[in-house]
Amino acid sequence: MKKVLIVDDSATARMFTRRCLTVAGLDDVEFVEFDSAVLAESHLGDPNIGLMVVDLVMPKMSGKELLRRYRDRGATFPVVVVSSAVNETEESELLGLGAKFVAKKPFSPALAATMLEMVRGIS
Amino acid sequence: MSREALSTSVIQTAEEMLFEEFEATPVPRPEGDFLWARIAIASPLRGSLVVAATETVASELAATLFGEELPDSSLETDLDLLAEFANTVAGSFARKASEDVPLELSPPSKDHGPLPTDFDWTQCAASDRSFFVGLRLAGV
Repeated sequence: MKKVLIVDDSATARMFTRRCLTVAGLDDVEFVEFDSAVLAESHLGDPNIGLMVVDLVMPKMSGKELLRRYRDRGATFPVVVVSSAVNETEESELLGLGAKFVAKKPFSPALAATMLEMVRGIS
Repeated sequence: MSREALSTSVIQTAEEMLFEEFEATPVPRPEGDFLWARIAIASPLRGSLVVAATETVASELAATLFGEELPDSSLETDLDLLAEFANTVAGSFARKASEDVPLELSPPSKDHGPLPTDFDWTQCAASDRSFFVGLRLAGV
């Protein structure tokens, strides 16, 4: 079973992201949640990761820094960034670092469905 | 930036997260004790945004969102929900000022007690429960 990592310092955001992904049809996966990018980084080498959804603004390590470390490791699973504080310039930067999709909060089941269509191989 | 822009951001966020139809109405500063979360916006405009609810309403909102997975620590969960909501509304609202200028939002501060003064307040209501959003813009 593929793993879906959800990285956000807010328990509310993690719950809501998981709910949106489930409603959008992602139900045959194992959701693994992290409240910090520092904890998530140590799992980037897991070959069973099918998708990572990461918040941008977090204490200690940002989502952008986690994305850099994901790129530096040569990881290939899809990464989606979800944030309330992202604009078009930063979106381009995140896509350049390897994010497959950048979503502005509020996340929603419809947005999750669009995102899942773009991220192939996850079901 | 208008109060209408704030109302739009609040309603959109509330409806997306809580799966209900909300209405926003300007109101005087609510009296009494509330749980509240505050976000400072530094760019592209400067100001502060507060989301507040009574303990009862905050618990109801958390129960709606989390369902059977509601964590045990209710106050922490309730404040986290308000903080996440405030963060999302602040981003949505600030983005309306400019899509090109980088957004700068502070991490949320959370507290409980009387609401801060010198804010313009909006009541956001659905069914029989409501919460409040306060906005203070620099230079206004």
